[in-house]
Amino acid sequence: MNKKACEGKTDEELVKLTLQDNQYFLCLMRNYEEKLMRYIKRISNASTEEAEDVLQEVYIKVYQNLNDFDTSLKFSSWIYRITRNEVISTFRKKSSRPQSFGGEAAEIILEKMASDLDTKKAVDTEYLQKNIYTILEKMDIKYKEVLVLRYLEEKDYNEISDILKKPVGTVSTLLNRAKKNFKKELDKHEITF
Amino acid sequence: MTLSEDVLKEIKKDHITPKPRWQFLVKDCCVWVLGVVSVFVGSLAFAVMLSMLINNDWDLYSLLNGGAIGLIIATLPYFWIILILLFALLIQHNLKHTKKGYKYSPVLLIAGGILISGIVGTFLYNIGAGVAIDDVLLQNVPVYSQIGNRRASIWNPEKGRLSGVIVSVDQEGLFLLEDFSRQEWQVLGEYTIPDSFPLIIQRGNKVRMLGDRLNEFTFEAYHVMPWMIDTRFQKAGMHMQIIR
Repeated sequence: MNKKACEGKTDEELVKLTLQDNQYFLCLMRNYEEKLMRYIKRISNASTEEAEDVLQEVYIKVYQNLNDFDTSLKFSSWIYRITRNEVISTFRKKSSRPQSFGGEAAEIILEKMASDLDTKKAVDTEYLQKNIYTILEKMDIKYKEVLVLRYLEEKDYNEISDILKKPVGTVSTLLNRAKKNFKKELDKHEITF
Repeated sequence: MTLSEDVLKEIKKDHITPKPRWQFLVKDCCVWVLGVVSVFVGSLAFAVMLSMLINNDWDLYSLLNGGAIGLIIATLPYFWIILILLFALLIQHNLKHTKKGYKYSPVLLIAGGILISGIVGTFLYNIGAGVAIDDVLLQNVPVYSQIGNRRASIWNPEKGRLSGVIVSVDQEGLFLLEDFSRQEWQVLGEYTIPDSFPLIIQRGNKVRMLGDRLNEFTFEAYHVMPWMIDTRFQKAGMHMQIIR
């Protein structure tokens, strides 16, 4: 299947076409390969090989469950949900939890959160760069994953709600708590040092 | 070869196919059916609880140890309240697993479950389901009077309180009564029937009375009242066939 055949088609159209001809599944997979690889690494700290293994499983599950795709949902939310569940399940099998984000992720989150944080104190950027990983490391995974979806994957509240299968209100609360948690850690460090 | 191409190759090689739509429909239907069953059972529990709350001895609290609070503590239908909450949790669990269920907060779903059980339960109470279930359990499950309907246990002849079903009535208005533990009593005395509780002394009616225990099988009644405050259910239920 060449890339031209995929052009101009929405994900939802590609799902319908895939059910008739599995070649179209390649279009869907190509559309998400890069995004999902990045997402898996961000929420799990997996190596490239591990992330590829997870993504392969995700694609097989997506293909097998295509008939369960609810068209009132965005396809991207659905595939992110399956990916998140697969990451959690893979780490559960290995008796460990998804770890923290990579370094690049932490910096982007910090940058995007800065305006939301409402910190009156001036934060030493150099200091933050040194300690940001320690701060994020201390945060609960439920806060980390919501930060990733909001600030790195740039999903809106409804999409996050569909991915995490939580009410929008809960997503909003989680995000607020994640930000407060982050700010508290920042303040704690400023006092200590 | 990219990862996507690898996956497609594997799909073709292993003849992997999408699961048929009907499988998902069956799964969704099961979730809904379990939800409806949970609503129904929760509603039945609500109907029984309502029956016990309405038909309680609120009029006699001053005669009981502990007054009104003592009566509430002694007769509150804890068993049924716990059952209602349990089924509200089941309703929430089932709704959460429907396609859109996750969009609603668990508290809202539980409150919704209780509300639906309340509405359907009130209807079931009005058609007599609550009273009938209570009757069947009182009749067939010995421990029920201890855990489910504790009202019967406060009607203790030793303390001048007797309740049960009228077995037979003679011309002078004296009657034979079988209490809820199947003990038969001869009821004597020139009892009164309070105006606020219309009651006809006749075979099959459930009554409660205040008086004195004269001996092992005889009770002198001063006041006789219907067991059911809701007089629509004054007759012993169809399942409570203790009169043979």
